[in-house]
Amino acid sequence: MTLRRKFTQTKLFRALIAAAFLLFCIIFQPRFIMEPLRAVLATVSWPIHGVFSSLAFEIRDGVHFLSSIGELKRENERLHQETVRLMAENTKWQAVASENEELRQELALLPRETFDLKAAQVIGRDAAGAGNWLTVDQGTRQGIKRGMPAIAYGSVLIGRVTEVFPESARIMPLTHPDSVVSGVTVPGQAQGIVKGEYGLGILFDMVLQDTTLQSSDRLVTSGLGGELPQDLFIGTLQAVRLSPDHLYQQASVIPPVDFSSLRYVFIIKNTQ
Amino acid sequence: MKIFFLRTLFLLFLVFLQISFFDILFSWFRAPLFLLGVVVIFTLVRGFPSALFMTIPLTLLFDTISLGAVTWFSLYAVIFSYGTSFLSRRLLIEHRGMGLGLYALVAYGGAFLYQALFSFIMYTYFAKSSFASPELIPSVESLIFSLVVESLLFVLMYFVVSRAEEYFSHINQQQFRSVR
Repeated sequence: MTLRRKFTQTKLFRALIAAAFLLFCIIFQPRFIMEPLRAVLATVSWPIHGVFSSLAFEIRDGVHFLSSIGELKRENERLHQETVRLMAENTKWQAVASENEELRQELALLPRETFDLKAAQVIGRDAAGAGNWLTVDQGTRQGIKRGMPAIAYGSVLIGRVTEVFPESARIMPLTHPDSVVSGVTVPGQAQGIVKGEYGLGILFDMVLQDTTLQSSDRLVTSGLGGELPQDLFIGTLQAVRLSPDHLYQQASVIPPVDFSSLRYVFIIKNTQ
Repeated sequence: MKIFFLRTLFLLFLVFLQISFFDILFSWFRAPLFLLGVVVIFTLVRGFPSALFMTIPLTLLFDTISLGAVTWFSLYAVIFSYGTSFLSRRLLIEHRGMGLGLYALVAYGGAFLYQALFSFIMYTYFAKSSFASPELIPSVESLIFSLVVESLLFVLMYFVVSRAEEYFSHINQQQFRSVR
């Protein structure tokens, strides 16, 4: 005589029950439990995140160093040439800067703002998605507030602070689908909106057709709206086309830094 | 209560390891490689029905900490755990001695499938409204490197999880004895 299990005793039934429960959670999202739990965990766990992320960065840098030994000589030569070129360019810009300063004094304009920066280490990233957020080790106790811009070295805009916890904060990068920033091209002064594309890229959109967009133009923040400072570097335009409704121009933007490999960012504290 | 507390701490440790360590180390991999390996190990060590009691809290904690919302990853992990359980008897009987290596491959395959599904969905959606070409598929070198690391980690984590389960079982028995 063979013993047959009831369907309710099978693994498949349990899997279906579990899947149904999770589907229910996905549809109805029990945020009233998740949000407070998340805030508590973010507050107590930042030292652990700090230790793990530092270790991961050290290992990654070590592996990267070992794998790139062969290329170091070539890279060194290229950097040497780049240094010489930048020194020449810097000399030219110094002259322009002093001329600009003199003109500002003559026109009685205010000096350009200097940023109050707070350095922060990246201690977490979006694991299951497309790099939709970065967690850094600075929070409300260090004076970080929601909406503050985050930059990388060389005034490269990374994104904005969207959530703040006592000892950590979460940054929404420019690639996030909800990220919207006002931008302007240099040269050309074409104004438009810089939008994230599903966490995978950046799009310069809503540019009027009577302005000229070129694929090598550089994109900076326009400062419109007052939320972000002016002239933060966003990226270089890559490909230009008309929007699907043929009303505006669009361009894909190549950011100068890889957001997924950032170890340190700087949060601008004096924007408001 | 003590076991519940210890198990929660253990799960939190695994989630933190994924978010702050493995995701920084394998920043180009768009799937929680480590957690999917742990799901396979839970299924092997505890059996599918009991593994659900670890898998679901693990993925829900991961979702809570990373996004603050329940995502499809939790559902994928349960289906993946069921698939592993389905495969487990056959793999262990037919490939005795190298079972752990095969399970490491299964875990990697699960992570790769998750990444492929994610890339497919993103690319389909992305291609409709955009013209940028993001690198959704990592290079072959990166895939091989992650496979090697995942395999080594899988074996290490198998022993860690087994020992942890033994310890929890030991505490459980001690509590039961003290009740009697």
